[in-house]
Parts: sequence; C-alpha cells; structure tokens
Amino acid sequence: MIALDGDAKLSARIDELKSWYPDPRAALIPALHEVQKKLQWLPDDAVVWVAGKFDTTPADVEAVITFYDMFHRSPRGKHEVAVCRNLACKATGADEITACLEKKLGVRVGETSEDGEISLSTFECLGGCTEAPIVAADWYYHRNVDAAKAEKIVDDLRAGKPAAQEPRGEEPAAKDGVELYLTRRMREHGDGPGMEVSLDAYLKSDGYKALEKALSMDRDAVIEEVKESGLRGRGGAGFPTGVKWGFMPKEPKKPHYLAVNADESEPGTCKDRLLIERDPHSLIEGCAISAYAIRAEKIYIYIRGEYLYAAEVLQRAIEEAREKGYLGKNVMGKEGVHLDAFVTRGAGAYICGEETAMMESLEGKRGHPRPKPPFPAQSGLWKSPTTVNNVETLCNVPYIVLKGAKWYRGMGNEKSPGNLLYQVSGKVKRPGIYEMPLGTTAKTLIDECAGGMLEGYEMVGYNPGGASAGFFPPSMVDVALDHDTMKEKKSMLGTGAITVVDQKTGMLPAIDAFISFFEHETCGQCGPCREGCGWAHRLMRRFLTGRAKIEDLDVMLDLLDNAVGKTICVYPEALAGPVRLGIEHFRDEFERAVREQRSAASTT
Amino acid sequence: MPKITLNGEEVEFQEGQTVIEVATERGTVVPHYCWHPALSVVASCRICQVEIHGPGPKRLATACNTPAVDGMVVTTESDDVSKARAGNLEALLLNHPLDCPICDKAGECWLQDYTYEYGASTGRNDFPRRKLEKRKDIADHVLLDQERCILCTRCVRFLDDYAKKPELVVTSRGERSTIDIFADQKVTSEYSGNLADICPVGALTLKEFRFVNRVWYLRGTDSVCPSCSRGCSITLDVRDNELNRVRPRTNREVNGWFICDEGRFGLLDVYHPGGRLEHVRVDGDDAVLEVAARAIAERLKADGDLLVLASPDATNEELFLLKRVVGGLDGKATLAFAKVETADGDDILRTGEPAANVAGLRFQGFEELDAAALKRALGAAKTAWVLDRNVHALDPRPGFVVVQAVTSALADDADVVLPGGTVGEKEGTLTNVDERLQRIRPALKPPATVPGDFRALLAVGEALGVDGLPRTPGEAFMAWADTFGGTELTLAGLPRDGLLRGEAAAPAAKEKQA
Ligand SMILES: Cc1cc2nc3c(=O)[nH]c(=O)nc-3n(C[C@H](O)[C@H](O)[C@H](O)COP(=O)(O)O)c2cc1C
Ligand code: SF4
Ligand code: SF4
Ligand code: SF4
Ligand code: FES
Repeated sequence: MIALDGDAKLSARIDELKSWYPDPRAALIPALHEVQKKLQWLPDDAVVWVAGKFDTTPADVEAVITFYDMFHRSPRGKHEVAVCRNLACKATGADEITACLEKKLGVRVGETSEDGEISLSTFECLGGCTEAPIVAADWYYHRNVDAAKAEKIVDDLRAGKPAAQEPRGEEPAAKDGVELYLTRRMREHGDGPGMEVSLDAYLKSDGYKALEKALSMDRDAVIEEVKESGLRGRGGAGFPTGVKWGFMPKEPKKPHYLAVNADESEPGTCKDRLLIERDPHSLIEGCAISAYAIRAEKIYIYIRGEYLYAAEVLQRAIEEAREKGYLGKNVMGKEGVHLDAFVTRGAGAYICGEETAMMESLEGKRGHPRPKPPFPAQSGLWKSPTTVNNVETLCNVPYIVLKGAKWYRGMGNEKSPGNLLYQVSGKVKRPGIYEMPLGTTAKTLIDECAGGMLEGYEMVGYNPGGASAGFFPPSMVDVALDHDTMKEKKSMLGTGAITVVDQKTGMLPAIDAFISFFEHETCGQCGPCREGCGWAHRLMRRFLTGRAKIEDLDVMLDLLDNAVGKTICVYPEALAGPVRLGIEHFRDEFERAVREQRSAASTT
Repeated sequence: MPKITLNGEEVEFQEGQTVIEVATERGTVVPHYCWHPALSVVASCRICQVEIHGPGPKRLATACNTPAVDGMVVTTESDDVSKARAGNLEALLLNHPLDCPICDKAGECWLQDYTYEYGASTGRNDFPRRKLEKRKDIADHVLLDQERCILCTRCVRFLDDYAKKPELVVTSRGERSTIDIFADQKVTSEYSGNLADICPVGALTLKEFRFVNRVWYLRGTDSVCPSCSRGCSITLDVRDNELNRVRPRTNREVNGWFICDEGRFGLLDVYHPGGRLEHVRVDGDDAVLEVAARAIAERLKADGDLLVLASPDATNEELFLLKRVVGGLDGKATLAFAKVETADGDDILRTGEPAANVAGLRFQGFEELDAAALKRALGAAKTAWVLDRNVHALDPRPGFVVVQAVTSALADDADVVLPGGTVGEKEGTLTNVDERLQRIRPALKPPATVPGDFRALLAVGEALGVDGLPRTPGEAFMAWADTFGGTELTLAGLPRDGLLRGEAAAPAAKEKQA
C-alpha cells in the first residue's frame, strides 16, 4: 500500500515493536494499532501490507483483526467516540447520552457522521464505573458525562481540539480509620500533571526501597515472604500469589517471563486503571520484585486497548525507571540482575483477561484461552515458564517486602489478608474506589463509604464483585466481601466491584446487561460456551421484550450445566454468576415479567 | 510399559500419548470433532469427554488433550459422558441448518452420527437459526457453507499446520465467528481437497462431488495414486463403473491422512480418458487379441533387436511378465523406459515425478533412456514395443511398431495396437519413491474390447510359446518375489501370500480414516 510504504517512520516503529519480543509476531496487534491510527480503519490493502510485514497471509491477519472490537474493517471517521453501555453507565444515563449523540451526529451507533469527522460506537464496560457514565473520545476518557458534556466533546473534536484525558476527580476516597497503603501515595503525593505520583515524589515517599531490599534478599526468600503474607491474586480467582511464584522452576532452562494482567474488563471494575494512572511506579516496582523472585528478566504488561491514557502514563514511567536504573542491566547496581518491562496494548476483547488468552493475544494472535494443562508456570508465553499476575496484586508486593508479612496479615482477615480496592458504582451518593480491609461488608461500602443511595433511588439488588459474581438481593448487604464468604454464597469475591442496582434501572435489565456482555465477549472456541452464551442471551431478552415462558429459566440453567466445567476456560462459570444467582434471588421478577406480558397480551 | 485401564481392560501406552490416542490405537472410538491425529490439538469442540475415575477425583475430561498416566482408569461411556455429549450436541445443533436431505455429507457426517447416538430427540430451541453464506467459493475445488460449520477449526489448522499457509481462518468472535477466506483470496493450497475430508460435517464440500451422488451408493476400493511416485494410499469411490470420488486412505508410512489435489481430481479424468484405445488393431484394422499376439510373435521371431519402452505406470507384475515374455527371444531385446520428466515437488507429499512405478522399473533392471539415448536405441532397433503412453514420437521409427497403452499419439501409425489399462483397472503392486511396495486393486472395468495389459502380455508370451508364464498378477507376484529371495523385500509388512489372499495392504493402511 503506497501510503504505508512511503511512511518510513511507521515501518521503523513496527520494527522497533518487533524487537521487544522474542517472536516478532507478538508485535502484530501493536502494529495494527499504528496502522489504524494513520488510516482510521484497516482496508484490504493495509491488511495485505501488514501481512507482508509479518510474513504471513492476509487471512491470518484478518483473523486477528476481527477478533478485537477496536479494529475496524470498514471506513471510520477521523475521530472515534465511544459510549460505555454496561451496567454502571447504563444506570447513570449512558443510553440517553448515546441517543443524544445519535441525534447530534445524525447517525446510528456504528456509523460515521456525514462530514466524515466522527464515528459513534458503544462499548462494553470501559472501566470507569465509579465515574460513570464514561465517554471516550479517541480513547481518552471523559467522566460523569451528561448530554451537554457529550455534545461539547463532539464539538471540541470537530473544532480540532486535540483529544485528551479528563483529569480524575477527588479519588481515591477513603474511610476514616483505615490504614491505607495502596492509595496512600496517590492521595498524599499525586503531584504529576494527571495527579499521578511522579518519580520524584515516589522516591521521596520510600519509592523503590522495597526493590532495593528484595534485591538484597535471596530470590526464594522473597517468594517465602509473599507466601507468608497470604496475599491472594486480585485478578478474580484469588490464588495465593507466593504459591504461584513457587511453581516457577528454580533453575531456568528457558527464559522466564512475568506477564502482567492489566486487561481489566470485568464490568464494574476500574481499580487497575486507577493504580496505573495515579501511581505507575508502584506497579513497576512490584513487577520488578516479582520478576526478580521468579527469575524472569522480561516483564510484559498487557493493558486493555481502551486504556490508552493509562498505557501512556505507564510507558513514560517505564522510561523513567529505565533511565534511573530501576529497570535495565544490573538493576540498582545488583550484578547480574537484568530486568525490562514492555507495555502491550490489547484491542478490545474481555476474554483476553483470562490469563492464557492474554498470552495468546500477547503473542499476536486471537485471544483464545489455551487448554490447561500445561499451566503457565510450565509453558506460558512462547512456551516458556510464565507467571501471570494482576496489577493490584503486584502493587501489594512492595509493601509486603518492605513492611513484612506480619504487618500485612494485620489487615483483612485470616484467609484473605490485606486491603482491597473496592469499587462502588451505581446510583449512590459517593461512587468511588475505596481501599478497605478485605472482608468489608457491602453494607459498609454502600452506606458508609459511598454514603448510601441518591435521593429518589432505592436499591433493588447489587452486583458484589464484577459481572461474574452475579447479583445479591438487598437482604444480603451484610455479606463480608472476602474469598471464602463469597464462595459460600455461591458467588465470588471477583474484582471487588460493587454495582448497586436501583429501582429505575431494574433487576431484569441489569441481569440482561451482564448476560448480553458475556454473549458479546465469549471467544467462541468451545461449542457449549459459544452457543450457550448466545442462547442464554436470547432467552433473557424475551423477559424484557415480552415473549418469555417461565420454563425458559430451566433451559437457561440447563444449558449452563452443559457448559460449566466442560469447556476450555471457566467462562461459563462467569456467565453462571448472573444467570444462576439472578434466577435464584430474583425469580419473582422473572415470574412477574411473564405475568405482566400475559395480561398485556390479553388486553390487546 | 505404563498402563491405563480403559473400559475395564488394561492397555499399555507410550509416555506422552493422550487418552484418545491410546483408545483409538486399540480401536475404541471416542467421539471427536476438533482432534485429528495429524493436526495440533486445540481441545475446543468438547465432545470427546470421557470419565476419569482416578488418579484424583472422578471427573469428566476431554480425551484429546488429557495425557495418559500410569494407573489411570478411564471409561469412554457413562451416564455423565452421555449427558455431556448430548448437551454439547444440543449446542451445536442450535444454529445448524436442517440441510441433511440435501447435504453431500449426509451418511458420513459426524454431527448426524453422534446426534443419532447421543442427542436428544426433540429440540428446545425456538429461535430462528443463524443466516450465513451457504455457497461460498473458497477454492477451485471447494465450497464453504458457513451455516453448517461447527467451528472445529480442523480446516484452519490443516492449512496452517500441514499445508503451511493459513488461508482459511476463523474471523470475528463468539457466536459471530465464521470460517472465511480473506477478501477474494481463495485457498491456493495444492492440498485443498482434504478440507472436505477432514471437515466432520458438510460445511466444506467438493465442487467435483456436489450432488454427484449419495455416499451410500458408492463402492470404495483400496488403491494407490499413480499421479506421482509418492504413491499415496487412496480409496476409489465408484458407482456404475464410474469413478466419482478419490479419497485419501490413512497410511502413516506414506501419506498420513492426506493426498494432493492433482491426485484427487486428476484421476477423475485419468481413469476415464478421452480418446482411449478400445480396439486391438493390426495394420490399422480391428483384430482379435490372438491375431495381434501372433503378428507380434512372428515379427519378433523373424527379426530380433527389440526395444521395449516400458510404462512407468506398469505394475511390478506386468513388468515381470514382460521380462519373461521377451526373455526367451533369440535376438537382442533392450528393456528400457523413457526418462520421466520431473518437475519440482514440495516438501509435503508431491515428488514431482509424475509416474507410479519408476522405482519398480529400476528394481527390475529396466534401463533409463534420456532423449539422446532413446534416439540411439531407436536407431539400433528393428522393432519398438511402446508401452508408455507418454512417448509421443519415434525418431527414427523402427520398421515395426507395437503400441500398448490406454491412449497414444503413436497408435495411428502403429503396426499393432494393444489397448492397455489404467492403474485403476489393475491388480498388482507398485513401488513408490521410497521403495515401498504397495498393493492396488481393480476398481474399474475397462471397456469389453480392451484386453488390458496383463492379458495382452500373456497372449504375446503364449504366441511366442514361452513356457511356465504366471497366469495371474498373483502368480506373477509370487514368481517375481522368488527372484529376489523371499520375504524381506516382499516389502515391509506385505506378506506374499497375504497379497494372494487379497488383503495385503500395509498394516497401517487398515487404520480407520480419522
Ligand atoms: C473470563 C476471564 C476474564 C478475566 N479477566 C481478568 C482481568 O481483566 N484482569 C485480571 O487480572 N485477571 C483476569 N482474569 C483472571 C486471570 O485469568 C488470572 O487468574 C489472573 O490474572 C491472575 O493474576 P492474580 O493471581 O494476580 O489474580 C480473568 C479470568 C477469566 C476467566
Ligand atoms: S469456555 Fe468460552 S470463552 Fe472459554 S475458551 Fe471456551 S468458548 Fe472461549
Ligand atoms: S468448515 Fe468444517 S472443518 Fe472447518 S471449522 Fe467448520 S466444521 Fe470444522
Ligand atoms: S502426492 Fe503424488 S501420489 Fe500423492 S496424491 Fe498427489 S500425485 Fe498422488
Ligand atoms: S476432540 Fe477433544 S475437544 Fe474436540
């Protein structure tokens, strides 16, 4: 393609990206971002051009492109405006914003305004739930958007104002009397242009002291300390972090990798973005310590494509860390310890948060989860031993190393120690990200932290941990949100995201928002999951559109039974959250819907 | 050797084998879609669930990616297994069109088979089915019906892993996933026909076979492809003496599970050639075989110096008989063959040598003549007996010319014409590029007036009065094998009397098509 061939900078950039990875193929998705940035979309000849760069067929590239929502195979406008369509944003007016933008631009969702300036889309949860509704303009986020603000966003784009992230608000909020560590620095030292903790401020507040200490320790002693602390993964599954690190071979036969999961796409969840945007060096320090402990030299941070601003903040911080020797050869002067970190952006696919799908995506492929075994510690990225950890998990690590396991165990409870970033969204007075000890109840979070419901709104249920955790009724606000209690209640702690459902949103539309999400996001490899998600979604829609039968609920439960435990990854278990718990706790709502549609039918 | 207990029986296995491999090897069928022994394992269709009773808790697991471990106890059928399979099939059928009555795959479709075995009899789905492309032209020989596809990705992996060029891919995600090509770039692989075989349902079908026949009317005969010297194992599917379809036959030693397109589609023409020689002729007039044989015999007795240009597609038995027939002549007989022009092969199967039995010719001592040597030999010969249909001119032309072939540019100018047969009509053996002896069986009958090569050679031998000629390909094979000392060259796993009993295909070739 002439336009691309003539662009020496683009080719050089692609070559640079390729050099980051042991297999240049891994640069495919980043390269597609670069090409799309230039052309706004990926026409046939661009696909052919990229295929040539990666020594493969255009079909192979097409397979990758079409897996990811952010890539376009049909013409797009100069600017992309995306409105979040998941629960928290829906509850706070996202649908009205979409309608307003449709009207203003004279287009439907998915289309481009006649002047070719602006394409409008809706996206699944954009990870800004506590500042809902979110509108992204060229992937820079605007928060708490209302109709007027949405119109201004579009006007500014048309006027040629460069798109930029709107600075964050008064977060993170905190409750009196809680010992903060994850968010302490950003509250006290957030001095950067985006309120982030600059490297200077970071260093002044004991930054990289933990890395220094870790480097003075034996690698296995670091693992032991983390094991002792009882830290459990914050990505959703809650696996003990130290134990996971212990699975890595002690004598590397192949290079080891640390893969950092910053894909954060679970509806309701927005804590990793906070950590990266406001305190990137905490993450880098956590990564460095972890990589040292597991005998890895390369750290790959996979960040969801929508988090453009966070990726930029992180990239800058990595460069600073390299400059100052916190990354690079002989880290902090320690002979033989070489570390480097790279940020790889995804391109819009929730499943890439599943750790093996993430590795596929990092390798430049469709995000298909891999069958296990082999587990990542045996064969992960590029078939080498790999540890995958969530951003928040790694952000805990420096504090554990610095202050010790015993200190850490002083927070939270026996089986779930430490603090968690709980994210409270929906029609509450003070939606926000609250650092609280693990095991805090939903009641405390909703009533005390978030100040209870807004005037005129009443809670009809809540989502206790991200879409996969399903829904609880208001009668269950006393549940302690920790791993074991949540498991007892047939849910999961998940990501600590609490989305309150109000009476105006309604339980059935809320349940539908999550089922619809899972339908949209299944990778589609396994028959029972691919078809089951679609079927569940179609059945669910009927309860909203008035053609449902009460037996449909049994079909929904049964199709889940046919998928749960029988597929490559645990995705059907995630779908089971809203379906099973939705039916268990809100059966009367379903029944009422059927009754009402029947009486509506008999009066017409 | 480590062992597992499979459906109550102890079975040995090799370290590294998966449960499905162990089961398949001993003939226990575990339903599967995505698994294929020649392709990478993705374990995505989830139909191959079996029950593992230990070690560890009792559980369902997919047989295709579960490694066998010593002491493992596995049952391939149980209530839980059946329920899982039924649920899986219900999911696959949700959006599957009701095409069976018009589908080429009907009768050998695994979705049909498994549904019959495990599926629920009534569907609970009352939503309209997905509408996708039904007749997408994705390769010169292959059509794709996206609605019928169950997304097992066998086709994708075949082109990627085996043909080394990912030209068919899964596009989009989730329920919107479809198999597709890029834009209008059709599959260029020279192995595209295999796509229709490995597709477990009727999503990929051959244009050449589209609505040609219902599979249950076809009679399959084990054979070997003569289109190049790889000699891939194939099955010839015939109805009413017409070759309708060529399929690969599993043979791990030669072609694995696949064949190339030239073999598959080329034979449809090669075995029903236009302009076929159908009548025995002497001096331009139709004659009976004995008269022609006598004419040849008289010529050979009267005037020696014979040049035999044997066919590189002749069976070993024909070559042996040919040698015996001319062996008793007084004059000089040169046993030769015209050098076969070879093209580039590939590093998959195709050797580029477009002949079935060059190795057999060499083994039996036929001399290879390049163009110059051929010219010299023709100059020296008084009679040429041309059994090679690819010899298009005789320069110089010896005084007497016998043409014996299926087709020949030389026939009009020949003194005697003996119509020959195609490899598909023959009984006997061929020797492939790796000197592996392989059995072929007749799948087609020649026209009634065609004697075929073996009979024609026998008639000439009899007219010459040669004693003790083998009377059948079987006898010829026995006699020939005796000449090179018994069974070790009776060629790896192909016992001599086995051949005579008609069941001598290499053992691996018996494997069920995966
Ligand atoms: C469908 C699905 C989506 C997931 N999404 C994320 C995600 O966005 N971020 C994350 O850290 N973990 C996610 N996980 C969990 C990861 O697979 C993995 O357990 C985690 O990254 C491990 O890190 P941790 O031990 O530090 O929690 C997801 C899992 C599943 C099944
Ligand atoms: S269970 Fe669903 S999401 Fe997971 S690999 Fe299978 S199809 Fe993909
Ligand atoms: S076309 Fe056939 S082989 Fe290819 S994925 Fe679909 S069902 Fe499988
Ligand atoms: S590779 Fe050779 S022997 Fe095999 S099918 Fe092709 S032409 Fe026939
Ligand atoms: S054959 Fe095992 S999952 Fe498909």
